[in-house]
Amino acid sequence: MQYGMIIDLERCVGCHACTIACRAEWEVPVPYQRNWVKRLGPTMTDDGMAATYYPGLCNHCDKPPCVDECPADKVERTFKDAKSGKTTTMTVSATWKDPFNGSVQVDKDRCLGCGACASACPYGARYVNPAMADDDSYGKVDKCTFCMPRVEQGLAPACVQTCIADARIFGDLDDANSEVSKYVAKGAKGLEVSGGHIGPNARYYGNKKDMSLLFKESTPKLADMGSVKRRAMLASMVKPAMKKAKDLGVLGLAGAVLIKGISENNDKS
Amino acid sequence: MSPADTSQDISRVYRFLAQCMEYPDSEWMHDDFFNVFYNFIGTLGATDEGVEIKRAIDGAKDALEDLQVEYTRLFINGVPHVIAPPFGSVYIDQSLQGTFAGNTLAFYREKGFDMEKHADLPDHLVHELEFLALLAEEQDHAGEEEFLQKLFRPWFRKFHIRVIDGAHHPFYRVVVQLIDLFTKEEKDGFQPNEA
Repeated sequence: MQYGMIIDLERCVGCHACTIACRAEWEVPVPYQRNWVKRLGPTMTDDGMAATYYPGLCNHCDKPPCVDECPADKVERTFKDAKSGKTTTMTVSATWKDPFNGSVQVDKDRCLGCGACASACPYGARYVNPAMADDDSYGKVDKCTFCMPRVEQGLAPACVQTCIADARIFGDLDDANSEVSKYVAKGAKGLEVSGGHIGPNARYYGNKKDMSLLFKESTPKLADMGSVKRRAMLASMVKPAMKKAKDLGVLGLAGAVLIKGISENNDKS
Repeated sequence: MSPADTSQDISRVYRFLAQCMEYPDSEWMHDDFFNVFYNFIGTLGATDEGVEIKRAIDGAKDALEDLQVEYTRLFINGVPHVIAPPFGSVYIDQSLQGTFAGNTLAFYREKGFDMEKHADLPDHLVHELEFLALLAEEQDHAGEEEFLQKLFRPWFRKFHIRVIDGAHHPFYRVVVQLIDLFTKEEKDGFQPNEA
């Protein structure tokens, strides 16, 4: 089974009910978000004038790059297939791809809040909430779960249930008879990263020009886990030590040599 | 975490590393400093290195003097010669205050900074780390990358090796490894998944 979501751009009216429902259901604090709706166009495409929306969320990818980046120690975790009752045990970090339903989930208790997964997500679908920091973390990462606690109770994801235009369809992409699979057969496509194959499981369906605009404007690149982000991750890890250094006055004593100010007064926080 | 928060975190790390490379002085190199330092490297998983340094510090008759002697031998004046002068030009131009130092100062100025009168040469390791802290603070990631690639890593790599090979005290061996860790570029062969 691979849960997936269809976004029918022919139906989406850009009302943001999905984003509000998600925020309300999961108490997502401002300024973070688990899903979003971006307005695209109007602009000229090769297929004519186009204007549409980009309703986005975690793509619960076939090969999620976020999962590999999690530095939390791996532990054994047993997964259960909601339908058959079958179980399997895997070793996972604080985020993983469910072997039975294909959704990508996070264990907040074990999350270190380092942000490595958020940096790795090409869609920007994860965030770290520093307000949830505890003794073992610098915050907690959060993202769309495909509303798995609701789905397990037989409910639709909050964004699907609330969509006034029925533009969101949730289901099993591995089931050829499912509504989502029928959309895929009709041409619904995922926003695959340029130059890579990670298999996004949110799929978009629309007319040629709107799809052209969506893919032109919103096709992401594989996240650059380059030097800046690596430094950011390392700096995030030593943040408490650096805060202590500042509090104790052993930070920034090194000679003020460059004008524009290099003293602690410049350290606004 | 917002980009501004992250940049502030990175900036603080650069400042702390710059501080570590200052001449040891009781004004800043005291118990509080070492507590932060052990915490810093412990968070990064370098517990063994922390234990080694703590042993050297706690076991010394005069830990500060030991570090002053080591700093002088490594970076200022040693017999028969200084081990690792902390100036970029030494490694690139084979002389102090060469073209490389000029290029470094030009880069500072291009970014709107200049040296204070009492400053050391512009390509001194401490100044370069402070400059990186300022760029990070301003969220000038492109500038940070450019400086690291063109004016920092080319000489720091050589300096780093000399300190590792020549250091007697574990403190400086670990500090240069920390600087290496935080300034390493993709071209240096970093593997993102090694954590």
